[in-house]
Amino acid sequence: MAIVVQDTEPGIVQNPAQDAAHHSEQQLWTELPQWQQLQLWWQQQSQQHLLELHTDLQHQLRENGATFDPWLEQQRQLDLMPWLISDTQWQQLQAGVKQRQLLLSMVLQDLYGPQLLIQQGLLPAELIFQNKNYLLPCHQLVPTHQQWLSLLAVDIGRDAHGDFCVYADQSQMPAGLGFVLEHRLAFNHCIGELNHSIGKSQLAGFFRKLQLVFAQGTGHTAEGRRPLCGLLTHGKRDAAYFEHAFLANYLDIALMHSADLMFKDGALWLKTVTGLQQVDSLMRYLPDACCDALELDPDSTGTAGLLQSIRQQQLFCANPPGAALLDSGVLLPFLPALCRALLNEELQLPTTAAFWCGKPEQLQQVLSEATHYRFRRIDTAESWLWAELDPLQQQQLQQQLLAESRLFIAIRLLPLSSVPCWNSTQGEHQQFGVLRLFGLLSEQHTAAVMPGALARISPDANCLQHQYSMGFVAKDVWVLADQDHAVSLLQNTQKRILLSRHSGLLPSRVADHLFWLGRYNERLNLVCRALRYTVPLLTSFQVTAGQQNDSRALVRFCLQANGTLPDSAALSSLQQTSALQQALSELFSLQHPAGLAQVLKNLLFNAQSVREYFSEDTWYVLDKLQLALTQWPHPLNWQQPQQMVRLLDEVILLQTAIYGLNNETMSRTQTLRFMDLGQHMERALQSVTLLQEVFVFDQGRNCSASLMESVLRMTDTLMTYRRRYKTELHPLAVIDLLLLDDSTPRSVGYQCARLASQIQQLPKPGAAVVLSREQKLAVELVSLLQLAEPEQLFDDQLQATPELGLLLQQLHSVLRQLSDSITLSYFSHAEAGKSWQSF
Amino acid sequence: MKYQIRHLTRYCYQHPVANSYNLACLQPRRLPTQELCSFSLEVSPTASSVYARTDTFGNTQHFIHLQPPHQQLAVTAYSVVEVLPRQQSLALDLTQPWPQVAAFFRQQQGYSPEQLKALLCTGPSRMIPVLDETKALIQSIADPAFTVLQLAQQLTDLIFQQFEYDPEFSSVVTPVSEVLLHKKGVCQDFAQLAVSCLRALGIPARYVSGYLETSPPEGQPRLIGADASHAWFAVYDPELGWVDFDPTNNLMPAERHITLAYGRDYADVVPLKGLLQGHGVHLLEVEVDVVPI
Repeated sequence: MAIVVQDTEPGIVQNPAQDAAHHSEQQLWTELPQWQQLQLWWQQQSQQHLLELHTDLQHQLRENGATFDPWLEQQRQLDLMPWLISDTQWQQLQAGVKQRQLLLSMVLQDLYGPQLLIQQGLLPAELIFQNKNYLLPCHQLVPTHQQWLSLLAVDIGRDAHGDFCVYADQSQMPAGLGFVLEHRLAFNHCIGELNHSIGKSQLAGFFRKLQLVFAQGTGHTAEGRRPLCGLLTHGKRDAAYFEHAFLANYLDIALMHSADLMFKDGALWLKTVTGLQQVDSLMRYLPDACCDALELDPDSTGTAGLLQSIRQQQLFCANPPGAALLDSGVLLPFLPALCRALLNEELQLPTTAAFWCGKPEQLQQVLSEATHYRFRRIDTAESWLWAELDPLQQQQLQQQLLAESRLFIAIRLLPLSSVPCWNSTQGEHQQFGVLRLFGLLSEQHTAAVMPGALARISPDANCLQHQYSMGFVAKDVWVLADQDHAVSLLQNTQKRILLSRHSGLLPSRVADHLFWLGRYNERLNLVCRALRYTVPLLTSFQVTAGQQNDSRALVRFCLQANGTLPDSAALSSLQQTSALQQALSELFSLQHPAGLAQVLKNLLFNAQSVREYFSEDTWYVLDKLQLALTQWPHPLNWQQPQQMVRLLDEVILLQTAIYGLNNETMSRTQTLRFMDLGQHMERALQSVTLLQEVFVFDQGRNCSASLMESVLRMTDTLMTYRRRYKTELHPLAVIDLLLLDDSTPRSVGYQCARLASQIQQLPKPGAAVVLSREQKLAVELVSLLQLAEPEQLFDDQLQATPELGLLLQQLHSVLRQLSDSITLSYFSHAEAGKSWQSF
Repeated sequence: MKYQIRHLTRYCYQHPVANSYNLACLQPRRLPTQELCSFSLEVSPTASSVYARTDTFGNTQHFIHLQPPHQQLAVTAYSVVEVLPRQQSLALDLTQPWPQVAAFFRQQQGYSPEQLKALLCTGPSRMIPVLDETKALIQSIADPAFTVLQLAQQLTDLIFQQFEYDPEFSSVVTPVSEVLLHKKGVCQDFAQLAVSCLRALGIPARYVSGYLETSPPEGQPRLIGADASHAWFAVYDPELGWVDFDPTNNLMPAERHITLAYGRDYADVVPLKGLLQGHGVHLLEVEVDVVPI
């Protein structure tokens, strides 16, 4: 049957509102009683209320942390109108997706196995063998009794007849599963009243099945051991990282990175601060080639042995590497025939017309109406939307198509239908929409389809089908069901499974990031505090000699705080006010390696890397900190020092909130301990540096009272000092308070005592009888301070003696050793691998 | 001919490394013209685990894991192989002309499992692109009346005549285009070049890794470790199956060539590759002894 599609000019976006020719989803919806119910409710709401609901909904996504992603330019939005799917439609879709998934799973099993489909000529060999996504090491990877394709996402639109029609399959990383869940939660939260009046299928049952499949794993988990499941993700740079964290949390499985895993004894293990834990199942959200650096892409950071552990049947990986073959669209032209051959039945869910350009007559037909097609080149995995190319690009593509026609697939664009939408700028209007359905297939050939979908809408029908960008506008999809059928999220329909993340399960990589998060957070605090007292000194109308001297010590401290040690010439050149001001403005510069912004960036980097360990409120605060970075005053206005001080105040307030929130929300486990270690390690190190700069650097000069006061203010200890001494400032008293006294929360003595007690609690390899290296270093720190003779630290003229300098130097050195030692014992096995080969 | 073969690869690292993972393709093939009498793989320090598997082409790949920290790694493969006389006479002109073979593999009608493996070796692969230059090179000699074997022999001769054997020139990853440009290379470069040329015409061609028995100069004893890995190519004739050609020596391998493994290109059959945590890998030595027994 000929497919009727109205002609569109290349490059011209169809306007769904004016385009009467294409099918409107609304025509189908209007017949549904639930739609009329929805309309009725709609008409009762004031415009103002709808506006508020829409804002609430976007805010809810933000609250959930869904759109908190600094690497993301565009933000996802949620439309106010749900997309309704009637029961009849759903039955059709569900059956279609189930059949499709079983079929595709069998095709993969064959292509990575006996290859009968190619032998029989059902599939052109080139399309598979030349396919970039066909990975030879994955040949016979999955044992025959297991499914190749446990998870599948099917992209569906409506064809010219108004029927559902598949235009793509996603099996490498079925993105969007977490979003569907998240949209539903946001919707329920904001528009609960609607939720209760219209019966719809709940999503929880599907996710419970998903949990079961992963808990089942390979079925080889040893008796009595709880299966350990993980979601394998790329990490913070992945635009979909949030979704992965969200999904992992919901499914109660651990979020894992390649660097967290290692191969041993035929299985894959999670490296934790308490040792290795065997991983039973992985939900994989990592591109195929990046899964195993030994057998697949050697330039990736994938875990060596991942493929081998699947072969050993010690790891269940859904989907296994190699599955991306489907995503190339290479099977689309052949599916109806494959379905007849493998299942002996007709394909239930129609697939958009797709052609292998290797057949001359098909190539001619496709080229004659190229604007209706998107093209995929299978050996490079490139794709093109003809209508979006300029004439020159079209000409180039045509040349490629003619020269290498056998490597191309042409996929016909669907006209799509339009759906009613509502947003704050346009009110009620129409946009094109597509659905992504999710299927699950388990070992026993039982299939399930999530009764919901990821709906994306756009005014551009072609782009929707061509790209899945993260900044889309989504809709909640309601699969209508009688109230009776509805399953509540809270209801236990099956035996509850316990997939709890073991409390001791802290990946080494995470511990590393938490440690450095603690360090950078404290560093930020101290530098901000120092600058808060330095800025006014250097911006007063007439900078006095005294102010110059005081600020010099503080600027020196700030310059060294971020680990970049300026040479001594640079430090001693800080004589004139102008040089000091220059140094100060560098500290505020966005790019300078020792600058405040750099510390903030490092803090955010470490926080982003372990996002899933923080509460939602903490994400919110991190978001605000991120905002501070984007609104950084540049260049500085020296006439307005208050502006700078306000910025510092705000940053201090926010980062202090991170401490507070983490103390309130993080469980009292190793997780918090590593952050605490980082924080106190940093405070001890920086305080030592500060005291060096204030008391020791200028040999032969007394520390001024005003500088001592600044230091006490900076460290928030002026009140304590006044209560104790009620007199003028004496350097020995200040040193006692800030260095030796272990009862002041800001003193070096207190930090060392804290470090010692925290290190005592760290997991130790085996039942070690002797002290660990970290414990020994902590003892050394504490005794250095306890054995110090306070009277010998200053001479009669109140000048620092060499003893003070030596003590500070020793403390500094032991602290650094301790930091290195913690890294070595607990984090460093999380290094990326290097590959090599021989002849 | 029967041979005893020892293939040693020794590496050292700048710092001790824990957990190195290696993939070895060092076990000689069992073939109609080759028997594998014995094989053992020795890893020093002792490997924590070794797993053998058969890849798509039927080669044996060993996955080797070493867990304890080590600064040196030595992998030695010991094999005893008997190479039988090959059936092929030098009648290269008895089968169908090459354009028919190329056409057969383009028709997409259905293939035998063996032809399917040939198809896998018909298009470009990661290390062997099909270039305009290689196409031009082979077209200069591709008489349409030639059989596949005649064409392969012409190509072997051409490479032998026009390209200089230069062990200093190339590394394991020298691209075919570089080899073409400088007209220099070593055995694996020539093998990959020939494969690229044949595939440019749509003729299945594969990369073969193995060993060559070298005779010591007259009157001198055989030196231990003096031999090396070798590589050549094979071309597929639908009637005769795979037939080997050695462009480095301009001959058809017979009883002095021992086949280790074959695949689309070098990347499929790397003798030893690895992945480790830490920095800096330094190849100490590769020693190969092929001793007739």
